[in-house]
Amino acid sequence: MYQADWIERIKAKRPITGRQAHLTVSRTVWYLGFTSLFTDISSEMVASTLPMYLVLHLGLSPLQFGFVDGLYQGMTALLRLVAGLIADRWRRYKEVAAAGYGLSAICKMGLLWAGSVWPMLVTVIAVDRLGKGLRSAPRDALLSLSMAQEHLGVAFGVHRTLDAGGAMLGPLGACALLLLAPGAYDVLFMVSFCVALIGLGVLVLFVENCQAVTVSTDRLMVSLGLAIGLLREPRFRGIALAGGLLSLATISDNFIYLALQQRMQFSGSKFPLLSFFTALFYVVLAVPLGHLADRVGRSTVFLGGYGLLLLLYSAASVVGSNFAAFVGCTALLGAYYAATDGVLMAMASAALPTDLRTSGLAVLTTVTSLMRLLSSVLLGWLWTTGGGFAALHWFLAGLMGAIVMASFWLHHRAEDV
Amino acid sequence: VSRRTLFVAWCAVCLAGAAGYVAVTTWHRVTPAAAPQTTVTLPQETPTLEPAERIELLYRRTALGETYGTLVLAALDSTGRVRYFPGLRCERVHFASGWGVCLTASRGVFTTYGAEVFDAGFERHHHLNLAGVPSRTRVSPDGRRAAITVFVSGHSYAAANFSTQTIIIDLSTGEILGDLERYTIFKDGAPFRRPDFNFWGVTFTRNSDRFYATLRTAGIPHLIEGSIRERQAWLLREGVECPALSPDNTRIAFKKRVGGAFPKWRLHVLEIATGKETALAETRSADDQVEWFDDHQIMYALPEGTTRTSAVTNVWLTPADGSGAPRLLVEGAYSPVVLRAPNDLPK
Repeated sequence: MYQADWIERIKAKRPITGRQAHLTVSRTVWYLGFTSLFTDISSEMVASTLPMYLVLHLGLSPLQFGFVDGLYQGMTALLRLVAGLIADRWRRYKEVAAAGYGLSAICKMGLLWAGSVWPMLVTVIAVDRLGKGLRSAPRDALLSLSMAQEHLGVAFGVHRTLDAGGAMLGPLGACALLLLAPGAYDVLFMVSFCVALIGLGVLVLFVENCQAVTVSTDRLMVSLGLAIGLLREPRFRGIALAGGLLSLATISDNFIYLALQQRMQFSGSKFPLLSFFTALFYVVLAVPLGHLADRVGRSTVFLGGYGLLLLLYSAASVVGSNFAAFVGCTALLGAYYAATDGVLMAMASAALPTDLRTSGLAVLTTVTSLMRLLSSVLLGWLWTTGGGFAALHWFLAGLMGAIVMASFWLHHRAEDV
Repeated sequence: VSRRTLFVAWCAVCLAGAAGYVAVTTWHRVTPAAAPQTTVTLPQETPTLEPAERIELLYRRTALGETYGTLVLAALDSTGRVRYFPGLRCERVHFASGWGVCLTASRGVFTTYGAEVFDAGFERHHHLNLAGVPSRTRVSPDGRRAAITVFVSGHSYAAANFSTQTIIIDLSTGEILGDLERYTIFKDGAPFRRPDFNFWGVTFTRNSDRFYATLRTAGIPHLIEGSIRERQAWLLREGVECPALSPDNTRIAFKKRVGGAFPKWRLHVLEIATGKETALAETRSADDQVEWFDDHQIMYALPEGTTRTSAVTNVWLTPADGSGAPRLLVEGAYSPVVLRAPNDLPK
């Protein structure tokens, strides 16, 4: 049924817009992309070596991080909404995002100051993630406001490519640094801090707040009630429902890797290789799939991405142990990310009014992240009661149902962009 | 001034800052005083130490210098003989009855972790890949088995959930005998299973089938006792972390969490027969699985300070009955274990 749709749409769009027009994104998108690139290099440098630093260098038993995690999730959800409202009300997207990027940058130095003092370490890591929660909605809003609606998919694709590219380069940089200077975590944190500052510099110096064309008043009517009220609007509600339900039916990467490891019987030391390949496919595919989303319909590509995930879940319970299967599974996962992560934001941006763009995106990411949290609890429970593959099959069935429901919520509207 | 100029200037400042930091710290690194000598303070009140008995201390050296991370065997007698084994660089080590386990981290493009099984001549016999950052290891008193705990973590910062994995291995074959996560756990006689189980810190009894360990669930650590042959374990009591069984198998030294969300660990000893807990004289927070020096004293590592390049730790000694005061045993040492002639010591 959708295939016929695709063909119609491609036929309809090809003569109107040339390829060149599709691949051109605004400067803001590039600048925000490079901000994210530097920031992700910086944070992944630290993240990839943090377990080693805590356990081997400081001699700590870092089990209590999971404990803090639940508390942090609630805090971030609230902060994300508040940040969204502030950014919308004063149209200070850049400033709010900069505060988030700045907080995370400072935390890289904070790790050095914290030493092995538990309360300080936990605080620094919590503040870093708070910064992450603070910046994503205003950044995505700014990105979406800088582009015409029909090119949002490719714009988010470009941004996510740079973002994921940074996440790939970070661990490599960290390892190279630690090979040159073994155990020099202070140098690592310092370099990470400087890289984050460069990212912040790109944002502060080059990115400008978009003056929304539709509004003229300085202070806009924005409130939490209005933001939540966005969910009453059928198009956005459909996206939030679909995004939320699909997130609930999604298994977190670590569990996928674990299931693949049990199936393929490879050593646990290959986990970094799995995430590296996944990121590689994400980087390569984010722009083409974003481009495709703009042409054939974002909801189609979005649902197609979850179709790939469905394939992965099926594959994870039957694949044999060989390198092709190993790479194939990471390709599916990378393609799933490329087809869904930025595309969901593009889809939501197109459905949200300019005045409430940040708040709306914050509401959406809050919904999806809470659902993801719930999903991991559910998965943990299924995993222990019935074993890994039973859990996988439950999620497989759940995901199938979620895709059907989501396609209903996303497609029963005519004005699908 | 154009934005581009400002940005170039900003990048220059950032890069200069990083380069400056590296230069200054490297300068300090190149010109430290010579690496301190290994100084072993003899424990004066050691009842079991007889002149004829040869007794040495095996540990991981953490004093700064070329030998950082290597194994050291220091004689605990008047000769003060110290031997280095640079072939084995370990994050954690344990040894008993002629067999040792050394947990390693090889830094590369992707850091990998492993375990080396070695014999009394410090020859390697088996290698195992580990799934996470090495934390604890213990060899059973008869040298037949060992337990290894690693920290497995999510890849990304946003999901920094740490969990532990604890495996039991056969030292003669190098094979994995079991993962505690697969054992049947009993609580008050009934099977007990929760998704958030984490196991760590195994200590073996003399018969090497029975062991004690920590199981944490719902944020509470429990002491468990288990059997490797029957692949099961049962909960004994709350609040006991990183148990270490005394050589005579009558007491368990452990770290007890005190304080709220941000814990400190106080060392305690539990008398198994009576369930009596005694706080030891050490008041500093000790995040370690302690090792018994003999039936009367325990050893543990405390950080001296985390320097720029490496973490320096010292090994301390304190009476196991709560009396006395902690004394410094070896400077620049971690993961100590006592080797006694004739069972443990290499020729």
